Amino acid sequence: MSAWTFGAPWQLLWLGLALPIVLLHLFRRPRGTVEVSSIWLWQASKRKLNESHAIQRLRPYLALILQLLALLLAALFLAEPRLGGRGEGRLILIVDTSTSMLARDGNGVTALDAARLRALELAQAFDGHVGVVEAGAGARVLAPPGTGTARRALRNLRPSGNGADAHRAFQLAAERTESGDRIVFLSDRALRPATYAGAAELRVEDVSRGESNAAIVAASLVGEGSERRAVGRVWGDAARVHGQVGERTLGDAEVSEGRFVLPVDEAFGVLELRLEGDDALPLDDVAWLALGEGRGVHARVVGDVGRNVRRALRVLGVSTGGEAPPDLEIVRCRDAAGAELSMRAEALVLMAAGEDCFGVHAESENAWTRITRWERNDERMRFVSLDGVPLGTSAALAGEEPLIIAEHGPVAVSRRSAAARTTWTSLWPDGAWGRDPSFVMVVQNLVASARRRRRAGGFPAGPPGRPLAVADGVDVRAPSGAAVESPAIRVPFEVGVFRVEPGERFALRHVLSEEESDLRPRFEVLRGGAQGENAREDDVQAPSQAAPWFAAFFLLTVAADALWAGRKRA
Amino acid sequence: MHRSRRRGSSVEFADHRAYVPGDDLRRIDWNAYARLEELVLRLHVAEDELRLYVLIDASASMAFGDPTKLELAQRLAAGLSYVALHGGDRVAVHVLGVEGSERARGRQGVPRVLRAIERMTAGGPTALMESVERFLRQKARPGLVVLLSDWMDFQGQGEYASGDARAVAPGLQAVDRLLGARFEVATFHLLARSELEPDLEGTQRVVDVESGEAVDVHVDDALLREYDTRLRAFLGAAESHCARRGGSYVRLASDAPVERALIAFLRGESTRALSP
Repeated sequence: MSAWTFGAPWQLLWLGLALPIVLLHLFRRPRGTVEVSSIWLWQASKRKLNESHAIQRLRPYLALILQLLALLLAALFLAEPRLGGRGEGRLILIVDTSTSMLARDGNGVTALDAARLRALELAQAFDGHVGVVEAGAGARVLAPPGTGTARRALRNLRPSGNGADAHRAFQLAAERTESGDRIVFLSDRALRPATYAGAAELRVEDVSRGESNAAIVAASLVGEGSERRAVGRVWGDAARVHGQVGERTLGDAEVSEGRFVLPVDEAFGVLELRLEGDDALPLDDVAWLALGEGRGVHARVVGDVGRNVRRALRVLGVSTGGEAPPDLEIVRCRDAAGAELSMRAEALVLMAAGEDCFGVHAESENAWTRITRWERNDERMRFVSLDGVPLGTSAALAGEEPLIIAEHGPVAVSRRSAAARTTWTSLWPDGAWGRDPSFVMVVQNLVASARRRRRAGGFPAGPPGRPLAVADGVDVRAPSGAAVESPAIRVPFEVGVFRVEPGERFALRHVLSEEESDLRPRFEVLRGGAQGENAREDDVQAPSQAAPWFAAFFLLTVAADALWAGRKRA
Repeated sequence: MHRSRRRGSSVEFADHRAYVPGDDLRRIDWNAYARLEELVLRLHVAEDELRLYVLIDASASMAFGDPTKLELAQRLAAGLSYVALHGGDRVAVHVLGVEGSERARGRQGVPRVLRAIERMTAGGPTALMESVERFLRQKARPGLVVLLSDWMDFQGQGEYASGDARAVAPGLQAVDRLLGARFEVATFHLLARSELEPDLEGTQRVVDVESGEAVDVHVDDALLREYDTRLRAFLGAAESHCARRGGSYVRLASDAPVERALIAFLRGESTRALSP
């Protein structure tokens, strides 16, 4: 018969808390002290009750018993108990969940799917205890070995953001293995080298299909007026970058040594830059550049919006069908060939072109996107409590604004400037949050803010990227004072003078880091280093991390119980 | 000369009562023994003046209640003394556990007795048996003894400490002792409302005001039910004990109307009607 062993036996030290708990219970004051003529009746009643009902004797100790039981269970949980000794062998599967694992092969299968499949095969074939460790933006133990949760953890794997902390993942795996055990790291190898110092055998399996990738990793506007250009850098072997304002193709540019320069002859709108060709990771072959500032306010609904979005818009009195409403436009999401994309979940895009911009790049990969970005001080969010909303993490991108990473991958980026701020926010309309009134408040505040800014700017609505329509008799002037005479610019008639003040130029970067965009395999394992090297505990969510919080909570509970018991009766 | 409520030795038959050791054997009703096979005494209406002895328990436990049990005892004592003194009888007021007494006869003694009653304060332990023995050592002539107490005297009573409600409490032993000394005994059992219906909940430390002993109890419905059961058993045992011995027994809550209790007692009405 197999004996119980513990993956983290030191966690059993928490059982030492039993002593202070018992002492607290013994020395806590009764709820109140009452003087009586004689205690005989109380003594006799208590004795009689204790004799006739054994459970009554335990009643005063019920809280103590429950606390000790909870402590025992918690300590056992933290100690990772498992049936069987260490000699039976263990297999730790480390899975790279960085965003680059979303790269697809020619059959549309992502590297993460391939890793998941391979891990399940390995788990099925292995006869011992299997554990799962995630190497994503943070490293964490998803399934301690011996708990029988490995397959479920593998099935629930999701992208975790930019980068894979393989070093910490190796540490977590090494702590749970010993000589004779095995560790398998499943990755596309698009990450930095990491050190492994464990005793178990480590093998790295490349789950990428060797597909090359290209990405726009930087884009910005340079120059003034007619000299204005869009410039940027490209990873990989992309041949061409297309720039487009609305429906006008500005032209192609040869990519030379990873850099591109595109002419820009439009004053306003949103310039979309797109790489040509099939990529392993199409998430990062698009970037947007906002031309000018305060050029109208637009809200756009992409896709067949879900029930929650329709409900929210109906509450706001915004129509999403038939004739396009003044602030919202329904568009379909199409791929490069013009075919309508089939999206498992729809995405809501509220876009205020110019100063503020909200949107999501809605492709099938983004079916899982959820709200990921907000500004705590953003007035549009002042009515909204985001407690309970699944939020992403924020990782520093060298020299830039934080890159926002959702629970399942990066989806938004923010770039702050002195005069304007661009924030991308993606919403998951069919998620649980869409049923919450706060969702309606978010949409309402977004629309109200857009309308207010449009009124202040005096510019009419219009789809972003499309030319402004200028009515007869209305002069539109550039900031230099020169009249804008482009026939493409038309705006509906409105009394007054439309002022044009191109603001600070800014660029929207794609959402992936250079490291992740460059999918060329370069990962290697460095042997050596101290196994007990200090770990970055802040990004580890192994069960042991919960221990201090558990202890604090538990002690607080016990203390509160003792205080409550000692409270004088009112 | 007044017709006393005391059973005397005149020719007018008054009542029977159970025989207790020390009674005059000549007064045993042998005819009744033949019928009942129980020793009973024939009681006759005494033709001498009434001697009223008011024994007041002023222990610390009597300070409970609103009004306190001691206040109720004082009012009862004052009322009974007033009636007796106005009838020209003799009255002696004793504080249990304290040497000496306040004695008076006739109406002129009313103010003195009332002042003595008013000066009483609660404090100290209850020692009913010892106090009664001290009273008997004063060689008082037989008369009517009115005992005003809460009978909360369980010190050193192993049976009671073990929860045996059938055991004889010291208060009841004191009644027996008085009856054996040929006193007529009327007992007022005084209780605070908080003793009859305790308003407690949760874990409590219950402290005996006289002994300082404490016990931690978890007060819930089950404990309160058990408390009530034991309290009723204790009260019932006291009442039946007095009835068997031929003594009067009146149970009163400290917030009960005194006038009604006094009138009912003087008329000899059922004590149950006054019971809380």
